[in-house]
Amino acid sequence: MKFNRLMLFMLLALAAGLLSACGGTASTAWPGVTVDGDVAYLADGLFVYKVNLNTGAEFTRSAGTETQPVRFPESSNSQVSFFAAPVITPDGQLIVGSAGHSHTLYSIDPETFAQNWTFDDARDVYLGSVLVLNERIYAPNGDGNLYVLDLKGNLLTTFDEPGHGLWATPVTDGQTIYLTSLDHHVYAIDPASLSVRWKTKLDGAINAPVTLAEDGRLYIGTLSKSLYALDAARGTVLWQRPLEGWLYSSPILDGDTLYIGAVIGAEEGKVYAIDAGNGAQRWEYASGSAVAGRVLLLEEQILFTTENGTLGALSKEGALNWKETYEHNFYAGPLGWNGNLLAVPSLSQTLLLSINPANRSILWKFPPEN
Amino acid sequence: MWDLLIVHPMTNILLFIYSLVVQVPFMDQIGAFGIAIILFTILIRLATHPLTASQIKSSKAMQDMMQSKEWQAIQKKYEKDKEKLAAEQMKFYREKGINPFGSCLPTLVQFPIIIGLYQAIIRALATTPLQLIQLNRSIYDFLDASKLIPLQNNFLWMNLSQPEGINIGLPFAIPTLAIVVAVTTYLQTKLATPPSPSPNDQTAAMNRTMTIYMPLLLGYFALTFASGLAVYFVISNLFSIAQYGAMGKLDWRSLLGGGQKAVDKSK
Repeated sequence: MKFNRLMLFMLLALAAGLLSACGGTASTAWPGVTVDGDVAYLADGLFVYKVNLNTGAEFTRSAGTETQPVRFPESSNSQVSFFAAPVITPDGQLIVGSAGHSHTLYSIDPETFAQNWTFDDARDVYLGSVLVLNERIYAPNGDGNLYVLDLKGNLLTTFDEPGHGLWATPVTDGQTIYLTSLDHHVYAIDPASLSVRWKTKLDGAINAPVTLAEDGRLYIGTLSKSLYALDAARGTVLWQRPLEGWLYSSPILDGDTLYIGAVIGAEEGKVYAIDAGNGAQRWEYASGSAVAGRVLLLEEQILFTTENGTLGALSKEGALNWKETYEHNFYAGPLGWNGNLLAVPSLSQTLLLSINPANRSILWKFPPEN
Repeated sequence: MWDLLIVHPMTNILLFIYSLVVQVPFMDQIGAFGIAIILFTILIRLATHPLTASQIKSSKAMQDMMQSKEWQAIQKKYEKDKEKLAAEQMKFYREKGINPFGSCLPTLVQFPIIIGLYQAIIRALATTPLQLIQLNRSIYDFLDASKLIPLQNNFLWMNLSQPEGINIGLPFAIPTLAIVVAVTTYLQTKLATPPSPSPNDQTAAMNRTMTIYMPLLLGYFALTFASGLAVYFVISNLFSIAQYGAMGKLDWRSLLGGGQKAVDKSK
């Protein structure tokens, strides 16, 4: 009798395990990195890490006779996970939101990683970084609300007009906040009153922030495979360029050319160069794998990463200068630091790589201990 | 292969239903994806009805057989010789034309369907950019994915991509849907299980264990996973109860606790 009950219990446990393993709802996204001097604050899954960019070593602190890594939280908590790049406020706080089942926005001390305060009112995940402007924190949330807090974490007001999630960080020119939403809209709002100056509906959901140009234009990629240029003052669509793939990142602007990566189907990806003036395509490069992260302009080259682990460099004319493949998946785009490259693998034991762009050798890797 | 044969087709059927439901007026206020999950669950349960019906009939046949005097006599006669008992049982199955695996084979066939259904719901409820990439790759060309995304993941008071809970001013949210899942699972298990002639036999013990563990297990899933999955559990349980009812196999005595006594008295 006891044997049968045990067997039944084990079968149920196996079923539970299968269901969990086959499709658990643990949030997975690509990591977010913020570089401040020689330090990288890396939000990657269960922890926010503090990494020395000169050595790739994690910062540590003394705890009695032992040393402990400086991480947030100190021990793993299955309810929280971090993917939005942490943001440092002018008064020296590090703000990062959880994309786990706990929808908490944290303020932590960038030095010690001690918690200052939390904000728990949001009902969904934080995937976009916060914007700090005029001593206010603007926190976009997956529940479609932009929460506005003071620097002590008190809720001042909420912008709740979007009809779906806010996954991208808001962008500002100091006078207006530009907000993109999965509800297909771009919102231009007054930072003080949160009144809508204009809103423009595009043809699809928007996952990435706008790119704000000095000439008063906004450039936005959508998940409906279109790149748009909008007049930042009125929100009028200046041009729309249909492309082949879903645009998960913002374009970068160099002179009069926009560069953006795309995710096409199961295997393919492309990098596009588009005329910023009229939306005409100048060239495209088939990367052989999805380009989800933002491309990087470094020393007159367009650098991109792909899902299948390629780091590549294109000339401004679209010719491949070099490419190197690493044993990782890259969804986040490359970053530049001190003349070197930082690559941010996903779903890997190694969380950060420093790469010499001259010979593509790996300078250091950051696989966290424990 | 699993994705290609099971998860992708199911995800596309689910999204196709959603694409129809979302066009119905006022559906955005109720929650089109919640309705799509309900319709999809009913569709899958209807498609697997022949399997379920076969399972119910086989279970009943087994139950009747185990209550028969001949079966009881065999059990008693070969109580101490397990090998002989097994041989005699098999012989008895053949004589009565009963397949001893008749009740569990349909369940085994349904299991991948249930797992696939679960995965399709979770995949469609993509809540991060990475999950959106995976979803995009699952969608067939006949559906315009870019127009469907993002799905309306609000249904009634719930966000279907998050575990459900109602805040009423307590330090914690009340997990109403998890409670409903546990209760409907208990009802479904209890109503579908006829009382055993002998409360001490192995089948009765396993049934009692199932009645306790299944509601707890599914209630735990509903508590911790996306509430879209909990909606599926509730609808699936209610459909199952209706299925048993339509076949005249519901046993209300089990629920009221009278069935066991009635059988015990008859011994």
